[in-house]
Amino acid sequence: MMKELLSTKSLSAGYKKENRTVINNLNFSLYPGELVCLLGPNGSGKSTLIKTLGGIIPPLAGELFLLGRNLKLFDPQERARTVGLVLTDIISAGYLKAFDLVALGRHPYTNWRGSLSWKDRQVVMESLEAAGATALAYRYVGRLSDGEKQKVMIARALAQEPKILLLDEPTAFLDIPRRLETFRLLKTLSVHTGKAIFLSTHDLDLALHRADRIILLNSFGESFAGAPEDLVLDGTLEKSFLPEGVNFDREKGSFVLPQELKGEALVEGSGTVKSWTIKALERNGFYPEVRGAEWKKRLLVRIQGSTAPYLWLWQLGDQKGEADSIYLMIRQIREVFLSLEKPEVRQP
Amino acid sequence: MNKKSSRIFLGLVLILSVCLLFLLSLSLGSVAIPFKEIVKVLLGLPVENRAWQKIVLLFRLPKALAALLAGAALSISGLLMQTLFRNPLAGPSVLGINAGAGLGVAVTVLAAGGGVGGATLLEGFSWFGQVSLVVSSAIGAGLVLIIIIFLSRRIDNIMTLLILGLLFGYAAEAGVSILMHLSVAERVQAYIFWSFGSFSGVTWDSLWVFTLFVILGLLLGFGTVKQLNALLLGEGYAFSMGVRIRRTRRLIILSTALLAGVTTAFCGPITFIGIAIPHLARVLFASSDHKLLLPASMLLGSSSALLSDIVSQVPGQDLLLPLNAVTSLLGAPVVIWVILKRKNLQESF
Repeated sequence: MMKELLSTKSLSAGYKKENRTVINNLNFSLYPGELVCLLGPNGSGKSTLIKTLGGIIPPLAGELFLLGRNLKLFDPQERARTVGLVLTDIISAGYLKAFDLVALGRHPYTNWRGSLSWKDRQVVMESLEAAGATALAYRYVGRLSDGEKQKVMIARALAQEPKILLLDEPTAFLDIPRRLETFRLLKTLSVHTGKAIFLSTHDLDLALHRADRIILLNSFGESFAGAPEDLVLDGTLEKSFLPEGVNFDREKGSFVLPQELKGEALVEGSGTVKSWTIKALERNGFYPEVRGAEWKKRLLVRIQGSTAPYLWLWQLGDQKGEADSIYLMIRQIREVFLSLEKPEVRQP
Repeated sequence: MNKKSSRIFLGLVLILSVCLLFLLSLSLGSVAIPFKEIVKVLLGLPVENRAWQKIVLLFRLPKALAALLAGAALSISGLLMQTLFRNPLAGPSVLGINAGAGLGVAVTVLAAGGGVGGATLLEGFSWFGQVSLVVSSAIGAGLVLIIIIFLSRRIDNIMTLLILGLLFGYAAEAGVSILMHLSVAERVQAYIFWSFGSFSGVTWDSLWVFTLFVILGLLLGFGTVKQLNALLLGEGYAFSMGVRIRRTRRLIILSTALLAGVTTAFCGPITFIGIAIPHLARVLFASSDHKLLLPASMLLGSSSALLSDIVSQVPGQDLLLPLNAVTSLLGAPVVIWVILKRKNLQESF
């Protein structure tokens, strides 16, 4: 059994002054090389937990161990060499270059003036490289995009050479390619450096596919932990996370917004074009092969052509049409459907 | 490397300009004294005109030294406040220290009914009046300082502290305006005269006290250079990098309160230098690094205080402009220029 880097014993987190407990009785551990995602609805205490694990907020009750030693016994310098944090705080150091910002992460290693030794500089460059931010080193932080800034902040945390990396919603404010990139980066880091990486996120899909383990918080201060697959299989994920009106597709492992059922779609065709056509139809309420329901509306679609350009021929009731794009077909179908649904408009 | 050498060049220019302005402030005034004679006086060589020697040694030299110290002190305390509160418009006055000093002076000048201190004050700036001004404003500034440090031990949120400081300022100003309302016109005038600010109140007798406190404040400020840089990212990140937040905050507040408090005590409430100079330093050196900003702000602050003093004396005339009017007239365009150039002050940290 590998030794845990971080562990909590009946940890309760929250705010003493406001007399508010957000997380109750949490027991969990982080092991080397693990990527753990913290999921939970807004207000469930994700940030509070991250800040508590990082020592910013003292625990309300219970104990928190780093490398087997109580966090209370760490002096600030030791703690900073053990845990690195990436927060959601806005940074406004516009006149700082990325290199200098990352160099701030050497704080627990430098002298009183913060002078960088040759080794410090080397660690800074390595951290930039590990975060994929080498090219940004000599640019002003104020001029970086959100995604670039996030990389630099991750590099800064790495420059502390921590064994544990805690990140509070590192993918918020990023576009989807940047989110994927961030997850890939963190995964690579955990695998290759043996650091334990713990992040909170709203990206369920990414967490389900990338995390080694998921910690789920619900709005009642309870928590559940396990591999993503475990949580999917025992239904915990659905129960504790889903708002009403969203379905979870256990087969695909993704969340679905159910559409009002309008009818059944029969699609003739093959390959990618067929699956994308079905996707578009489902989004508009026409599902293939629905059992146990009587369908008034039946939509027939035939796709012509095996490579682009395709042609879509469709029939709904006694209406027919053809379209050279999915968008056009959907628009035509919508028009017909609307005229079928509301044949008469009541006169006042 | 090119960047580095241009910074060294800029630094040399600043040092040179401080020296030049220092000599200029000795030479210019109601009586113009040639540069050559100034140098002779400073070197202790015999001078043609004995009166010149007296003017330079007794009046202009302590005043120029006071301007040098006050400029450095105010701009450093402004820089510290801006970094600590992460607010581009923070300055030495935000903690209410200036207002506290003002209240102290107001109590002495306006309320000391018929007392010796009050009476002598009305007769202009006698030695005793001067001392009582310094003492009373030091007491006012000190009291606010003690309250602030006491609160900073208990209050975690830095913004709360900032707002409390501002509110202290308002309360102290309210006290001053009540005292002014109840006081006679001559005393109100004496108070207003103090509130214009002036470097000429510092004499050789008091200069060493002033110097001592300013050096102490500067040492404290420079001692926190590493923590100041970490604080650029906010207290959360600074904490995560191993900064002892409360201790650092107390040191910074102590330093800035000493610097602002002692300067206000000796020179009156001088505005704008504390807010404007740190921005000027950031833009000139294109850096947020306090290892650079601290000395740069100090030099820029000293030059601007010397320059303001020279302008307020209106060389060659007997006219004397209020120092604060000059610092504001010189300072406001700088801040406006910085804002327009950077578009966004927040970004220029």
